[in-house]
Amino acid sequence: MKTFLKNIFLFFAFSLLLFICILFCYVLKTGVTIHEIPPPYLSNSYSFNDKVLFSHNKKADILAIGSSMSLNNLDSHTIIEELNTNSYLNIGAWGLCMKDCFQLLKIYTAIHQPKTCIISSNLTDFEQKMINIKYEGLKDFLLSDTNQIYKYHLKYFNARYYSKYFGYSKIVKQQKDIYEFLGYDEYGAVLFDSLHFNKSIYRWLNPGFEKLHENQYVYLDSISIFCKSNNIQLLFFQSPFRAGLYKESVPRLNIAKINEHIQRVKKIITDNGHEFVNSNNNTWEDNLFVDGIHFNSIGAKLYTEYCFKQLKLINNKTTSKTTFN
Amino acid sequence: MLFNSFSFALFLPIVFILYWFIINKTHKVQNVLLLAASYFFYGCWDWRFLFLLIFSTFLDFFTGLKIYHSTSPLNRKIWLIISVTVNLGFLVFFKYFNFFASSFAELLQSCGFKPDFATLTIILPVGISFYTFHGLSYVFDIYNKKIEPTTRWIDYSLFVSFFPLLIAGPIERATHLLPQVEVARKFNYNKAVDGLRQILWGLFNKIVIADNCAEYANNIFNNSANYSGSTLLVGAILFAFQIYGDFSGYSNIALGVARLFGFELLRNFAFPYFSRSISEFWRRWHISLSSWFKDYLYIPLGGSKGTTLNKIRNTFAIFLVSGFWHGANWTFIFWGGLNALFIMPSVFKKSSKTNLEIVAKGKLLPSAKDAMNILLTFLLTVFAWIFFRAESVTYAFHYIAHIFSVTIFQKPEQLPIWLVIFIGIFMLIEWLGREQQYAIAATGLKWKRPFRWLFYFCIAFSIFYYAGSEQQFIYFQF
Repeated sequence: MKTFLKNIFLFFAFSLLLFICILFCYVLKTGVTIHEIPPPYLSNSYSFNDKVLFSHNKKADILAIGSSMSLNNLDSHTIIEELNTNSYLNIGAWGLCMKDCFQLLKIYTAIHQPKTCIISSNLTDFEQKMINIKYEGLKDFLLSDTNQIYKYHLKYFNARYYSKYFGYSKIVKQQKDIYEFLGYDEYGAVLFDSLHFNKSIYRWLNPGFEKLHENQYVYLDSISIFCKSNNIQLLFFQSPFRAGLYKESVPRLNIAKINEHIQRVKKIITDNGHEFVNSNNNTWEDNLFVDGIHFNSIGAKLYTEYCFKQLKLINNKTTSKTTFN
Repeated sequence: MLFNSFSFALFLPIVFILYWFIINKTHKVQNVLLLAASYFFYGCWDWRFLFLLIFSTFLDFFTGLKIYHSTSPLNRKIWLIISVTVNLGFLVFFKYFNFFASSFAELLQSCGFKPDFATLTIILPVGISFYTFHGLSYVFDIYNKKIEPTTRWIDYSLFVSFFPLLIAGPIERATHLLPQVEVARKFNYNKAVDGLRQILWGLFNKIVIADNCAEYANNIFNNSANYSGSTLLVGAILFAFQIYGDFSGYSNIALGVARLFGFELLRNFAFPYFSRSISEFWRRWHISLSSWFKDYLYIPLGGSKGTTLNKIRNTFAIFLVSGFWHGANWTFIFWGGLNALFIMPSVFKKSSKTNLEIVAKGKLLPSAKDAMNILLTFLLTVFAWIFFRAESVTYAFHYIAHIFSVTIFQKPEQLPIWLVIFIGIFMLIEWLGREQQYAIAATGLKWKRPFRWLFYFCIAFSIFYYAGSEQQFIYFQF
């Protein structure tokens, strides 16, 4: 028995030593520090985890929810001016689909009781994504004290995630010319630099969607009904493609499919008495974008202004068509 | 409390230290401690079902004694019927009530009636399929005069409720485990080390192989309409490795934990994916369940004796019942029937008892014929697993139809290379260790200690690296 316990102890000591060596080599190679620890592992999406950490202990009456179409394409200052409020929070994160939005909306509604919910969306949000969010722990995390965050690091510890993202925060918070940039404004939006941006040719030519998933429309319908039953005003902005994409992309943009999608979404939104703005009625020049669907800061401002202008026109039962460049 | 949870990592050493250091005196005291630990372990799932477990244990203990002491054959039979009826009654109620109610309602609807059936919200007591079968085997063996009943309640209760096997087996026999329960266990260094080694390998199977395969297999099965045929084939293959890693991982942990306390449980897996025929596969997959059905259903029905028609009937009977045992869904019954169909050639050729030894025994590589047979058997099992995994039989047929569409020639959208490499390494280790009780039972035993420990460290590190949130074991739902 003594030999057994002694050998177990020795094996643990041996393993610990090897582990420390591996850790030391990792730190030496990457140069990371303890301050660059990633946000708690509440999902397999870094952007989402980072946004959850950003929205921790914040309250707002107006929420923008969705994918990078909300994160990057909505200009916060336009929104707070148009809606005449400071109580605004953008909780958009990369790759969230309608299914995620519905689940998150329920959680954030329980915490914030918002009056208005804004969704900026494109066809990419109706694809099936592989983001797995730990919803059971999310609400607790959002309501927890700041000094309790370490508990969620321990509870959801995942070595693979920490090894992959240790030091990543430094890159995404500082490097403004990459798509992964997460330098939030005070409301949680990220606007891309309009002058110096490292554009990817692949993304520039990519419309961002392939196969739309039927379930995602059902989830949008659930969002629409949920907002109605909770007296939340839902503003749904259909985000556009850059103009050049209609000529350059291979295969060509399937305009019939896009129109079918837009009509379907419009019906889901308006049937429940909410507001729908289709920005595809306009031409959006290439210099407003960083890729096929993501605006730069100037584009985001013009797009958000356009959406609110259209809202007013819709309310006045008129339409307009302008070209921004 | 899952085997792959932090709470179990605390529970196990505490019970181990108490068991060997504090109260290691007589087998009675050892059994009291293990029984208390087992009830605590079970109570952590849902303490309310602890009463059901205790009642079921008491029923079989009592009827076992009654059967043994009854002098008239009629009384013996009556006590047996009482035990079987009550045991299966609980199982049917908790596991199959809604299935029967909804199937009956559908049948009436198809006949033009409009039934107004309400299904009940019934929580399935974890492990009920396993401990019911433990108890039934005990009663059957007493009835068949294979064993004498124990008069010690604690010993019998431990046999039924021993925590490593309580939730998902192996399904033990009184002839095998009860004699071990009835004597004091003495600490054996080699056995304990072997137990730890098997736990390590079980955790690797579960956390590194099964949970990673699950991530991709679940995504593909849940979104099959969005993927090409080749991706769906990848999904089915990944599920085959998921369920193997999951259940063999659980079984390895259970056997390893039991060994730490001085018990030898029945082996549950013997490298089934190296089988050369479906009949061999079923001798190597979930062995404790297969042998249970063989002993208490197949042989009483006549087994492989009698006319070919009888053999076909008996084979279909055990596979359909085995499928139904897994869950209240037509998919499991279909899966069982499909396996019975696959096994028919060996029934007709009377070749079900060939390939008794592990493939290529004493050799490094199999013959070309064996390799082809292994591949064919694996593909047939993958095909059958689609029904096991699918939500409905219709969905399974759609899934299969989509696999065999023209898109099967497309490049799969989901094929993580690192996972393929891990599965490759896993199968290589399994192949090299296929003549042992489990893959790494003898790996590195002749190496110098630092190298052996380095090997164990690599396994432990990969478990640590891939460990995320606790993932439920698939067989816990059965």
